[in-house]
Amino acid sequence: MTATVSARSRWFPFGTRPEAPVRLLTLPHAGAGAAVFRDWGRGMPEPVRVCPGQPPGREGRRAEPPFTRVGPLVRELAAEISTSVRSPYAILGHSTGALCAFEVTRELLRIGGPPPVHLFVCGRPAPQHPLARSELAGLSPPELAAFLRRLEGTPEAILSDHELLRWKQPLLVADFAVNECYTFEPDTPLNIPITAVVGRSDPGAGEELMAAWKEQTTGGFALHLLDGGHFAIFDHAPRVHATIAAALREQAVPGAPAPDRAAGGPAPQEAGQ
Amino acid sequence: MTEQREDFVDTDYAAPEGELEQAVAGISAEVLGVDRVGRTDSYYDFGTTSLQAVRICARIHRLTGVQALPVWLFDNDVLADFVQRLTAAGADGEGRAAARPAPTGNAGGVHG
Repeated sequence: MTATVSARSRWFPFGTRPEAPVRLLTLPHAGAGAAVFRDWGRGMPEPVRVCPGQPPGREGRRAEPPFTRVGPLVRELAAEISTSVRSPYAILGHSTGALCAFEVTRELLRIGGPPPVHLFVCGRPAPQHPLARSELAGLSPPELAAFLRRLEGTPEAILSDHELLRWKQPLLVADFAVNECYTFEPDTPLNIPITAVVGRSDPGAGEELMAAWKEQTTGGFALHLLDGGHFAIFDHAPRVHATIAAALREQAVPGAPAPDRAAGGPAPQEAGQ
Repeated sequence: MTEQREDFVDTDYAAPEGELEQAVAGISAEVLGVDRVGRTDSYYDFGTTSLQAVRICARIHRLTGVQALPVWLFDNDVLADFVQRLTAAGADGEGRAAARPAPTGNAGGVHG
């Protein structure tokens, strides 16, 4: 057994990779969970190790009700990060997850927990811009499919599976509420670099709205445009990985051993906190 | 690039019992890219995505003639429970396709 197994928890079902030089926590888009980011994270170059986050209400946590507001969500997540995630770490949030990433960073600073060294926000307008409400609760499966189809990136096999859509609908409603029932409170910009990533044809997050994330940081800002729509970071995973690894390489703890997974190598000496 | 079950699950491996469990376990391991899946393992342990669930169900149908819906997998995420759900569906005549070849449950998608 490797040390990665011992660091599993409900918020981080694939572990918190305490042995890694630097960790990337991921927070998913509406309706998704840790699974899609475990898939996405394959091939992430050293020294970054991906630790997919799992909000309640989905996958292994589906017995728990999902949050419907970002405040309670990030209070629970910040407590978890501050006790179980080793520094240095960064956070990547996609869509609803991007708002969560931003707000959990603020919460971590509030509670004196170690903040991330970098924030990657994907496919969501800057938080100071209010979003219109998508009323998903009353939609029929074909209407829900049409809504998701417009975002591009959900396979047709899933969009045509109305049983599956009906089953996922309550979770989508909750996650969209987290993203949209949100009042931005102005505060000091973060002293943490922010990298924004978006597909050029993302219908919900145009270039200008993504560039506006710049106002939330004094620590440096970059905007990357990809070909594609709302799920462009999944279509171009290797390129996004390279961007992340380059940004984090300087932050990686020098001298921390990279795990020798190929040979199932020796168990690292240190256990996770 | 096959990963090891033990990288995802802490509990002991329990071998699948019976033909259908063995078939489903074999298909699941292949789609999920792991060396094996035990009958008490949850699909969520391996990070099964919607697309993978669709693929698993399509292959089950193709190989065994038994209809399998992705939502059954997500709602009965322990392998033995999922197979029990398939069996119950078959017993109720809820879509057993007998020896007919399965329609193209092609799960081709953008990503996943």
